[in-house]
Amino acid sequence: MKQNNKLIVNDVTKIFSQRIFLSRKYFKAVNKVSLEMNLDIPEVFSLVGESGSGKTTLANLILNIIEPDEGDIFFKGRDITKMKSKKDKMAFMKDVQPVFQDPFESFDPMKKVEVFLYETVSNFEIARKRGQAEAIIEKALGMVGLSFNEVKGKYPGEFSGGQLQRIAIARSLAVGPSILIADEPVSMLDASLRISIVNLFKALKEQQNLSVLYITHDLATAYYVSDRIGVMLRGNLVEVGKAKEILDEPLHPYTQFLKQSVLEPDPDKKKLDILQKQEISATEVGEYQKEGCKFSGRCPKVMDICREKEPGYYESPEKEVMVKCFLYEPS
Amino acid sequence: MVKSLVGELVKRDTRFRTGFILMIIIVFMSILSFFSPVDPYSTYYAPVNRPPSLKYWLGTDSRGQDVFWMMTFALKNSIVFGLIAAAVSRLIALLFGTISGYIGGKTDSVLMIINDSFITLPVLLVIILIGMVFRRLSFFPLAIVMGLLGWPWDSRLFRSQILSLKERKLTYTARFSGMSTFSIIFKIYFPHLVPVFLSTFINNMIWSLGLEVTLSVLGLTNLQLPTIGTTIYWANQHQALILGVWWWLAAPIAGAIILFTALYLLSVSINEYVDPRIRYQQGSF
Amino acid sequence: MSLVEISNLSAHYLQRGKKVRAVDEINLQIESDEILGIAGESGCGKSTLLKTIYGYVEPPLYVEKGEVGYNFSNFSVNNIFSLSSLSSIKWKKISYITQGSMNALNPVQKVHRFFLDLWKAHGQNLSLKGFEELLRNRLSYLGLPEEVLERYPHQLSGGMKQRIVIAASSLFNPEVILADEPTSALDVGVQLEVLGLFMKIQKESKNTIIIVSHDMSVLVNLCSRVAVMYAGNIVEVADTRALFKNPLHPYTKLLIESLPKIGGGKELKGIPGAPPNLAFPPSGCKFHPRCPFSSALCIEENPILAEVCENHQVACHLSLRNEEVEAEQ
Repeated sequence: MKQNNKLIVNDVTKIFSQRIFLSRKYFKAVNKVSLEMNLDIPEVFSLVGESGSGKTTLANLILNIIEPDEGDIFFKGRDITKMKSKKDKMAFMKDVQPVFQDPFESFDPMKKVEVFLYETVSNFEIARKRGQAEAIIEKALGMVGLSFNEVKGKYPGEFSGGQLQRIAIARSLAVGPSILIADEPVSMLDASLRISIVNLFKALKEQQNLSVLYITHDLATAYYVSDRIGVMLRGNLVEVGKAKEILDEPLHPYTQFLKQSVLEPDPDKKKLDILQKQEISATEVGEYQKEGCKFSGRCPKVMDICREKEPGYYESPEKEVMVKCFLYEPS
Repeated sequence: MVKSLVGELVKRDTRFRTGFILMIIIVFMSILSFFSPVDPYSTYYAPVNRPPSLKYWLGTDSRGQDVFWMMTFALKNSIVFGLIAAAVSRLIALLFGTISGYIGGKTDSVLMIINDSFITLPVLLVIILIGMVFRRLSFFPLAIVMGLLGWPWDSRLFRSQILSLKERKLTYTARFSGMSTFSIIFKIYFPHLVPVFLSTFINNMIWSLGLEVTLSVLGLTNLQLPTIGTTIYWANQHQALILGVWWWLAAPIAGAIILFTALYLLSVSINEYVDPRIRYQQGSF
Repeated sequence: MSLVEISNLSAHYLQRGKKVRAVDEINLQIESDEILGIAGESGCGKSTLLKTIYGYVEPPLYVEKGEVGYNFSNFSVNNIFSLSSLSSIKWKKISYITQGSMNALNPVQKVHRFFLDLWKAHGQNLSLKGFEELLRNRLSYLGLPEEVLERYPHQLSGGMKQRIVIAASSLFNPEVILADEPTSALDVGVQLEVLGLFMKIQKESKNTIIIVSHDMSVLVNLCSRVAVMYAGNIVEVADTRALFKNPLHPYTKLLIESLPKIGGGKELKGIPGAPPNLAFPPSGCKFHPRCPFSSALCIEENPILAEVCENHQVACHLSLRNEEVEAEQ
């Protein structure tokens, strides 16, 4: 059978509970989300959203760290939730690797960084002997602009955030994965270092045929590096499509709100003025529990139907964009 | 790693240094017991009730024994007793805590129910009961029994350490590096547990020694074997204070005070060192 | 006469016997009725500078030399370098919002207890009733419903908690409000609201707000003047527009160029290398290892902050050289 080289997330739902004093409220951290990435055509797909949008939960579902309550996730034709054997799980991890937000948390402060590099190479049986392992590690570090000599014998605390994150990425690359799941990989780094990591993702896509699922709340870097973008709000994917098309002219009112709220480092585009008294946004759990569209509480274009029913996905006629909003329902 | 820990503490902490020195004195005394000219089980080989002198450094007791050499044996036996009890209880605590913490779920609940039942046991009464049933517990079995009863408090401690380590991103990195559960626990988690292991080890020694002295003074252990507790027992039996043979009581009590103080100082300074805030501030771990 | 004058200030942390100079010979004049931004990346010393301005100097932080002079409306004072000194100033003339303070609200106490403690510590010249009225006015001024006083912190969103902190710090109408990364943990929509509040407070009470942020967009939008810090030094100070349209220091230039924008199409490059370890700073100008224009002079001498054009100061040998060349012509 032809190798199916896709990551398919199919109507996935994940329910969490929050205890507020004595009552327990359930909310859907991820609500019927579907997306597809074709690994034959490597791309950088950004999952964009604010806190509580469910983007990290979705990343953890794709990494098989947690299991969905409804829906399936297929990777290269295999249902990852049904992987039971160690062999299957190892094969999966060889193909799908994570990059986490805080590089200092990703490593063990008590161990030299090379420990994880060696472990990765030996456990996935990429190299048999020590000499081979070193060559592979050197190659992986080379892909991120470092050399083994710079890294050997040092503990995580001896590196800067930018360097350590590169080492973490090198470790993920050592197994030769098809896709990196990067959860806020640059939000803890300084602005001047962010661009170099984000440029690295671009380079890896072009040179190593690597796809990247880039999760972030920063629209600007998402615009800069992505091919496609998915915007998430309270567990729902509300707009999906080509990055520049969506961010140049957003269709969903929430995406429009995000774009309007993002401050720009340009004195000609100032956005602040004295705001009138405004109703403060509802607490997070409150918005989750809403019937209908989760943005209906704040949407400037809200209609009655938005408060009652959840919208479906509608395709925009001119662009390759799917929007979850009644405004675009074909009549 | 232990060496560097000890080295740092000796340099920085006066308490640790003091405790360390006291401990060395005690260990030295214990080692002397191997060179003792007298057999610890023999009695009435020396003149009775002689006060400390140049010939008998700590005097002699009412059973005709040389108090000094008896103390070397007492200290040695007490330390060995504490070590065995602490080692047994640490291993059980580590095993219980790690399995419970890592696997979680129902296994965790069941193991913790067992754990908590052991906590509620009144240890002193249980051991007295065992002592009365088995007529004078001898040395090794008693140490093992102490070990079997002394683990539940600290297994929860290990469990919570494991629980927090499990949630840290470094666990995910380890898993995505292909490490097996065993590897993760042994290679990654256990080094993080070493400081806590050491400090609870010492605490446990203090606890089991204290129990041993209590039981011996009550006459429930093998009274022929010289330990701190049995020495006090015999001194009481022969009414040493009334007879004025104060050195017979002073020696084991002083030995106990020095030993417990040493252990306490070591434990307190390691405990403070173990506090992760201090460690991360220094960036050493 | 400036509201706050910082002269030749140096402060360091003592870490394992080593001096880490987080604030290195800083000279800065802060005027009244302005919003000043302090920009810089992690480890540049901006938070430390704020601490010394507020007087929150406790070991392992020590002030080595220099002065901070305050010219408040009714009195002047110098060097309030300890928390306990002159508590009549703290919170009433100058207040300080630390990083992450919205998460420091006591989780087991309702919000009104926080304000009660505030009154007990700083508001004793007002009766409790007077204080409560002042509080109510301020809460409504900031758009907070009165019922937040009866809530616990975890029941409130990030934006609400930050508004409470802002309410507390602006309650007695201080002449200077110091804010360290006030919006870095907030979502974009909430960030906009919170920054709007700062602007509102400043416009109406005409006081001075000093904001520290690593996010240049925040500073561009909010501040009238921006100072850029690198490795403990101020490398450039100018009006916001001038700084962004005409950055003179290479670090500022490279920093601004590395910021992505929605709608921007250029290939961007970061700044090579990494900020220096302040325990072992490079010789001369601390930026020279990463500077594309560094010269022999830069390796030897640390440039001094000097005014190069109107209201635009920069600490760079290159700019000073250019100015001399221009002056000669």
